[in-house]
Parts: sequence; structure tokens; C-alpha cells
Amino acid sequence: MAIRIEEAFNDCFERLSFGESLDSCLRSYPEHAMELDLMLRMAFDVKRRAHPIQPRPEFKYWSRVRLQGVQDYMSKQTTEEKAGPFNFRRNLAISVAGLLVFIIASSGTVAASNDALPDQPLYGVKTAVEQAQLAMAVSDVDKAVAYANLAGKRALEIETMARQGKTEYLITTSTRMDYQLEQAEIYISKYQAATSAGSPAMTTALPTDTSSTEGYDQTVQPAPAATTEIKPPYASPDNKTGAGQTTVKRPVLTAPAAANVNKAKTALSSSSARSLATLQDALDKAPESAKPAIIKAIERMKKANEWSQQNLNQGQQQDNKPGDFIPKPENFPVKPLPDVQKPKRDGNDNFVTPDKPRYIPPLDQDLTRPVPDTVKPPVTLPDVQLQVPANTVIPGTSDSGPTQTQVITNTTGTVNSDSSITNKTQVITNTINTVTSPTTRQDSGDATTTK
Amino acid sequence: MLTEEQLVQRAVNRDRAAFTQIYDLHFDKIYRYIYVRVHSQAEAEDLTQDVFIKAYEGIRNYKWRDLPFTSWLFRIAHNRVIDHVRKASREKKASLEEAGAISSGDPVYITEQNFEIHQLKDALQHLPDAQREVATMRFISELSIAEVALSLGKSEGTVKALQFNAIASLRKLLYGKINGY
Repeated sequence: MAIRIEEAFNDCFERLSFGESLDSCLRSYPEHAMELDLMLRMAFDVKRRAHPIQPRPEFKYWSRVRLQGVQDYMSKQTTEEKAGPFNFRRNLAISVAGLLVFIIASSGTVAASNDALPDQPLYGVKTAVEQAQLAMAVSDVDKAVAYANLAGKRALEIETMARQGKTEYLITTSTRMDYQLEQAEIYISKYQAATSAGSPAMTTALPTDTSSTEGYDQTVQPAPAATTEIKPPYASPDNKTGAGQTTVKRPVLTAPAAANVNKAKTALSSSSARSLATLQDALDKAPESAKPAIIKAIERMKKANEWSQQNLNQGQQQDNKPGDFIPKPENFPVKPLPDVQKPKRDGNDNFVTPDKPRYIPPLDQDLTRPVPDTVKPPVTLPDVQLQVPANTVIPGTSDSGPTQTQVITNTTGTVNSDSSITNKTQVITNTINTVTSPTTRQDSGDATTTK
Repeated sequence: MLTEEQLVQRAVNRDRAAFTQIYDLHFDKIYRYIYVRVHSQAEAEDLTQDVFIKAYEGIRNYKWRDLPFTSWLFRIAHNRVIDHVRKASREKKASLEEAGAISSGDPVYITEQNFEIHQLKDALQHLPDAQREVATMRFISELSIAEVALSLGKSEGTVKALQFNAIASLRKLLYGKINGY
């Protein structure tokens, strides 16, 4: 294939720049030699003409001095910014972000995006606004409340998508909801840990396994000075802790801190209770394929609700205040979950249909063995044609061979058999073994065999 | 001996000595690139200085994986020249064609050099924008094909075609048609 002249020109220009001669390069491209010669001379003429263009040394020197002045100025500014009591740029950025959120939130696009679903173009706007709202939540309590509200929004989206039969984003939305619930719980735990005054030994185990509420139990520590003993739910009926059971010590929170914790827990509890009702509706309307995802979301939401209820009640006991209205699942018309048959998996994590178990023979099984009747596939194979050249001597065809090999009767080696599938397989196997085995060929005393 | 990438990484971290080394490495190339694109030596000097100040201001946000440093620097120079040319055309400044060669040595030789540079600048002004950009970066600032391609946001194949066409056009403009080329 002929090389384009642009490529040849570039190649020669590079080679000449590295010291190769013009003639040597032109010999590489005899078809373009004449034109390349002119163009390369021109290119180096341009280089030659431009070579004297150099900055004046004094300009170069003063330019560097000026640049160093700029560097000094900028480093001084940076130092002042870091040393100052208030970071002006940071404050400015926060103010601008707040203003931006306000402007965005008041615009029509955002209003329109409020009901957007994950498969719609405005969903990006919706999530961006949510992120801005999260960024504006400064304290742990505010963040917990924000995350709880967002989880509620995800539940609404799941319900809408299930109603509209859009199943492709259900799992994604459910996962997102799961994450937001987890974040709400983490921030509440974090706030509790941070505000437990005077109890340095107290730590809160942040959940690592989101599938279980057990991970949220506070760790057992040496009893701090001011703690309230709380009986674990598995204590014996006589209110004594059973043998081997540990007692959970929970630190006393200050009154404002307890109020804040209650605020966050109430938000989580309301959001999860409302969402449970919503998801229950979604389950009724959803197609079968979407139900496992919704059931998973309901289970997760139940756990979050139980967790928030449990801690909320503890918080109320602690500060001895009459609690606000705490929504519970029973306040909403939540129906019991139907008994949906979940797909089962075998030991290899493959889906197994209970009615029709698959028969998968092991790899080392002898395929010539009769297949068990229970799973034998009702397949009839066509007659097999084996191409065997003429003059091929198959041992056993004339004297003491097995009955199956005697069906090879002519020079083309056609096998005709009405026998069962097992017999056919044996015919083929025996024939192949006979034809390809060198020992058998030697025994037959005939060198004219096939490959 | 530091590689260019290591040097740039130090400069990104506000190492002043590293940035000074970068300055020395690229100053002449940038100056030549700007000089053939503007009318006067003074303009070229001002713009060259501006390019390095802008580079220093912006280097904190520079990432090597996005663009090689030379291409990034020439992109700044390219934008600065475009802004300047646009502004100069509005103001309609009188051209003060002056020589850019080092003004020491044989006066006759210097005059010849200046005349050739003037011819070259004049011929470059007659090229289409894309050809002029490629020819300036490739043959005057001596950038590689890849660097030119990344600076201008074009493919290497396109740059090769543009450089060949630019040389063909320059040949016609400087020497007229010879043997049909």
C-alpha cells in the first residue's frame, strides 16, 4: 500500500532533524522523491529563517524578575489566607453556594424536577438539588434529618415506578434508599457519641453490615460515671440479665443533645413509617419481576423504623418527657407482606426451578453410559455418516469383531443403524478407536489407514 | 536529572525553582511562536510575559494526565495571541514592522536576516488559520506532531496534512511555483 505523501513528508522531516541525509530519506520514498525534496527543503528553510528569532537577553532577565515578583506576591497572599481567623474565600464560597441553592430552588426547572424519576432527564437536577441540600446541612442532626427525608423520596420513586411498570431502576433506587437510611442512622449514632458528655470510654459502633440492625448496638465498655443501665431485649422475664449476657451501658445525654437526637430519630421514624406504607402500595401494583426489589426495600425500611423506634423510646425514657407523636407502622395502613416465592439457588449459586431440575452430568462422566430414564432427553439422532477411504481395513469386520462394527459394509464406511442412541455411540467410539489406534493398524498388517 | 513531568509536578506544588526551570525551558519557543503572530517585538515580549504569569497562576489546577505540559502552555499562548489579535484589529494599530533578530554582528547579515524574517511573517499571515497555527508550532517553535495535535485539539493525521499543505503554500508564497509545485 502506497504511503501518503503527508506521512512520508513527516517521516523524512523527523529523520532529517535527527541527522539523516536527504538522499537517504528520499530513497525510502522513490514515488514521492521529487515533491518531497522540494517540500523538505522548504520546511528547513522556514526553520532557518525563524532561527534568529530570539528574545532579547535583557528582556528575558527582567521577565524572570517580574515573574518572581508575582510568585512572591501570590505566596504572601496564600499565607495570609491560611493565617487569617476567618477564611474569607471559604465563607464567600458558602454564601455563593447558599445563594445558588436559593436561586435554583426557586426556579421552574427545579420545581419540575421534583417529581422526576431516575429514567427522566430532570432526575440529574433533582439529585443535584438534593446534594446541595445535604451540603447545606451543617450539623450531624441536620444531616440525619436530610438523609431520612431523602430516603422517603426514594420510597416514593419506587412506588411511582412500580405503578408505571418501570422496573429497570428499581434496584438502583432501592440501593440508594438503603444508603440514605444508613447515613441517617450513622449520623444519629455519631451525634449521640459526640454529645455524651463526660464519658470518654463511650464509643458508638457505626454499622458495618447494613443488612442487620444488630450492628447498631453500642459497644460494651467499662461503665462510665454517669450511665443508665438498659436491659437488653433478650433479658429473662424476671428482669435479670441471663448468664453470659452483657449489659449495655448507655451514657446520659444532656437535655439539648437528647432533644436533638429525638428530633433526628423522629424524622427517621416518620419517614420510614410513611415510606413503609408507600412501599406496601407499590408492592400491590408492581409486576412480579419487581417484587423482590420492593420486598427488600420494605424489609430494609422496617429495620430502620424499628431501630429509630427503639432508640427513640430509650431517649424518651431518659429525659422523662412526654414524647411527641411518634409515627409507627401500625399508624399507617400497612398490609402484611404476601408470601412471594423467591427464586431458589443451588450450591453453585445458579437459579433452580423447582419443577424441572436440570440434569448436569459431571465432566468426567462416561457419555457412552446409558443416561438415567428420569432425565434422558427424548432426542433421536440422525444416522451418522463416517467417511472412511477405500482399502481401509478395519479389524474385526471380517472375523471376530463385535456385532456393531460389522455394519461398516462398503468403501465409504456408511454406518446405518436403527439401534438405540447408546448403541450408535458405541459404534462410533469403537470405529474411531479402531481406525486411529496405531497398535490396531500394526496388528492388522495393513499400512493404508486414514488419519 | 528530573524529567519534565517531575519538574512540572514540583511546580504544581508551588516549587518556585521548578517553575523557573520550566520558564527557561520553554521561554524561547513561546516567544518565537508569539513573535511571528504579532506585529512588533514589544507586543511579543508583553504577551510572552503574560503567558508565563498566567501559567503560574493556573498551574495549581494543572494535571499532566489531561494534557502534556508543553501543549498546555502553547494553548495558553494560542488563546492569548487570539485575544490580542482580535483586540489589535479593533484598535487598528499602525504596524511598526521591526526586526526580531539579535542586533549585534555584521549589519548586512542582520539586514538580510530581518528581511527574511519579515518575508516569513508576511507569508504566514497569508495562510489559513489552521495551517498557520500548525506551521508556527511545528517549524518555528519546533513542537512534535503529538504536542501540536494536543495543543490544537486535532488528530495527528490532520496535523500532518495541515503541515504539508502549509509548507506547500509557503513555498508558493515565498518562491512562486517551481516545476508545477
